[in-house]
Amino acid sequence: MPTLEQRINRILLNVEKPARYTGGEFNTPNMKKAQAHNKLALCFPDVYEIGMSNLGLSILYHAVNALPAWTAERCFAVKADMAREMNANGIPLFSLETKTPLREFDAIGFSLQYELLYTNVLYMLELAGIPFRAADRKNGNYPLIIAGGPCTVNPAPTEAFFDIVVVGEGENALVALANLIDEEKQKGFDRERVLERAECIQGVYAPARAHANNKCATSGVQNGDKTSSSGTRKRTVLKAVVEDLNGDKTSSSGTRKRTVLKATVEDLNKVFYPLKPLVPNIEIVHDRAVMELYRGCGSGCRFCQAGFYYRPLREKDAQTVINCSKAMIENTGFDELTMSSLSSGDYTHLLEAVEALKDFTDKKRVRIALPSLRLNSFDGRLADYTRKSSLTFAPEAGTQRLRDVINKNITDADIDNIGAMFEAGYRSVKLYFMLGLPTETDEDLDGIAEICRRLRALYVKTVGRKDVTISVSCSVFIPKPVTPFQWERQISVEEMRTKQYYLRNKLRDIKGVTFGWHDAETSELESVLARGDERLAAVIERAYADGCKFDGWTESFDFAKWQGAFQKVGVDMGDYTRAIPTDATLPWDFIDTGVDKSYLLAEREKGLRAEVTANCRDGCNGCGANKLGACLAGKL
Amino acid sequence: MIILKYRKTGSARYISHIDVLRGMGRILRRAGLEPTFSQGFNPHMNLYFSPPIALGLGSVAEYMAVDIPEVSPEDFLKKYNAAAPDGLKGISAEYAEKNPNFAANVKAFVYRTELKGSAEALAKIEKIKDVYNITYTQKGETVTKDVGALIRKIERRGDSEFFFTLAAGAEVLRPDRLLKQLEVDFGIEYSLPEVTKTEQLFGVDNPR
Ligand code: SF4
Repeated sequence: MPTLEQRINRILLNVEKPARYTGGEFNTPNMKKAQAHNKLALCFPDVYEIGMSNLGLSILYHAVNALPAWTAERCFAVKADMAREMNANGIPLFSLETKTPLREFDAIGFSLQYELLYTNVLYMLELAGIPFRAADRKNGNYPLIIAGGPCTVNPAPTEAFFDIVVVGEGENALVALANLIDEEKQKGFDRERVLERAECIQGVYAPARAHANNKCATSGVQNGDKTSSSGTRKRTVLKAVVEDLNGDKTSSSGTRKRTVLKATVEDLNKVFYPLKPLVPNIEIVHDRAVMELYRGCGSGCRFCQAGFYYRPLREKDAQTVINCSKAMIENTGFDELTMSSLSSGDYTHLLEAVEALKDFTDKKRVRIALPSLRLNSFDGRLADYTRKSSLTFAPEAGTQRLRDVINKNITDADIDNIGAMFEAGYRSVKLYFMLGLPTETDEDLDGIAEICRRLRALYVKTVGRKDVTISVSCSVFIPKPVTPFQWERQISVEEMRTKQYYLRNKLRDIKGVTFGWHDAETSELESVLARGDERLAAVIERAYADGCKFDGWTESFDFAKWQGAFQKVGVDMGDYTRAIPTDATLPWDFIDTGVDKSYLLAEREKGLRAEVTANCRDGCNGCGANKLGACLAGKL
Repeated sequence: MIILKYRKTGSARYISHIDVLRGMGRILRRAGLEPTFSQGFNPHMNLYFSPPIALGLGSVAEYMAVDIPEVSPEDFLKKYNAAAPDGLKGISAEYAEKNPNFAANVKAFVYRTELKGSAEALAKIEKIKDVYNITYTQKGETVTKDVGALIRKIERRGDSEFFFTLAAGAEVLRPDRLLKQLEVDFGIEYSLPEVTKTEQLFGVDNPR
């Protein structure tokens, strides 16, 4: 009888890019550790090349593998050709490292990065032979199915599928959860008891117990964050949360859910960071070493979920960044190092760190990339350390008025500053905008064309040539939970197409400008799933059953099928795209991200009056998030 | 110039040639080995490879020439192996005066495989000579070709172990096409993932 691995090897030559399914990357942790008797599968519901580019997955993978009692393995969504071969040969979904069927793991963690991956979760569960709904897994000794990642900010649409949802920053919470499972397994695993105890870990939500009596409230809470130095403060927060239970938060299903406080890492210098990340054998999307600089964002762009969700604002020290960067390059051999954060140019020690690394990276012939510079944070000196091919900036809106509405603190003068960078040798600029923003008019779209015209003239003036290329890329505004714009309406597909068409015509006559835009139908679905409630689980199941998967991929996205699924289940998409009254209870109100709802509302009102809020690096704006940990080590 | 002989086994069999090129750069960088770089806008390490092996086949005879000053072959091999993933470990290393130009000098590859079948069938395979027609599809078209002259040698060891020496260089005979035909003609069984290239035979400037 051939082993599963041998059976897999026999089909690998029938599929595209077989190395997606083989594992064997350099720096793979030891899977045969003597004391490791628990297995976690970390699933990323997209293809290998995308999943392997995700920093969060890498952190969790190596953090769990650092535990003596656990090994963590990876599994990605397989493409259709592989799924066909697997089904034809009776091969279940397996882990890359040891080729173990997913069904045999103690726990499976899904990373929910993006709403359009929801159907792929079901796709992977089906390939693994695991029932979709937690309620159907009570018997049968199935692995615990856990969700984490940015989408758990609103667990409602998918919570029926998961035993446990981790909200917020997962590394410490997942480690605490792993330790708990290990302990319970030794006592004889009892699912109910595990869920009950898991709830005591900060950031953990057990959907089946959403309405049950929470036992940790009085007995003290196990703080997943081992780096925490302030146990007392945490307890105060939780007391507040418990009191909140007596308030009148009700979910759309009519009953109240227990408030869940997001998991937060307190000290980024002490938290686990993978210094020996895996080195992929095939080219992936972000094929380089990634150095995280800070979490949270002080800019306060009113549309940006990450900007609010990951508060408080915490930085790594320059020395941590320098040491970790060097170690990663030495351990991986990557020829590129990315400094990554929501807006890397805002990092206090950016210039210091990049300068300190220069000799090392020059000798090793490593490029440093700074991907997310903001116009107003760009320091001309940094241009010397990065590539000279293309500049990337995101003004997001075409006029000063609309930029004030969304609180994108970039002025026309900042845009003119680009001249300095043209002098530094850049010849191409990528500009990112959003269409369909609250209060947007044609004048704002005209403003986008105006910016292109000005940049071109600026280039001709500073460089004396006309060979500049400007690429304009427009995404669609989506009102996302826990942002000041969470109550806004989602623009319709038809309106969006009109705007895209209008702008295309405006940009057509400007030389050197290319225009790309995001599909309106995809955005509409993303919007519905992002602000969805519990009713959507059935729709996601229906859509999957009707053939929807890889919905984030243009070639497989089928809007008509999704519309059909909504219709069959009897749910109106319009319920989730229209404006929401600000006094309504939101499906994600039971998630406490630290940022007060009243702050979001005040920001919304300021936005609609086109009033800006300064970057909180210049002074705290009182959003409330610092109850979870000091912002910039208490300097604000 | 250092010439490294390395293997491509296990999961590394499924890494394409272009990905091996990129991977080698990373191995050398983390090994602390510093080859010379090409000039130009987009400099890359000066590495030269023997002809690409088909995806999925194993090999214990791949070659890479590295233009690198000031390192002994012994040191090179030691450092390389400390930084290489399991499936791409080095086997040996030696000096060369100049780039051996593997592609221009290669004459044949030797493949090892197990064949399962009747004694009669296996005996017949051992004796294939001069004329042997194979049929395969190429770019959607069915091609039939006499490859007798491209089969340089067939050696059988024990019951089922076969070594096929097949032409490489200007004219190439792919082992998967030959094996497929043997399956059709003689009803034998084989497993492609278990075929391994054991040797590369070079012409005058044999770098080994
Ligand atoms: S607590 Fe203050 S400094 Fe911290 S993120 Fe909120 S507004 Fe900014």
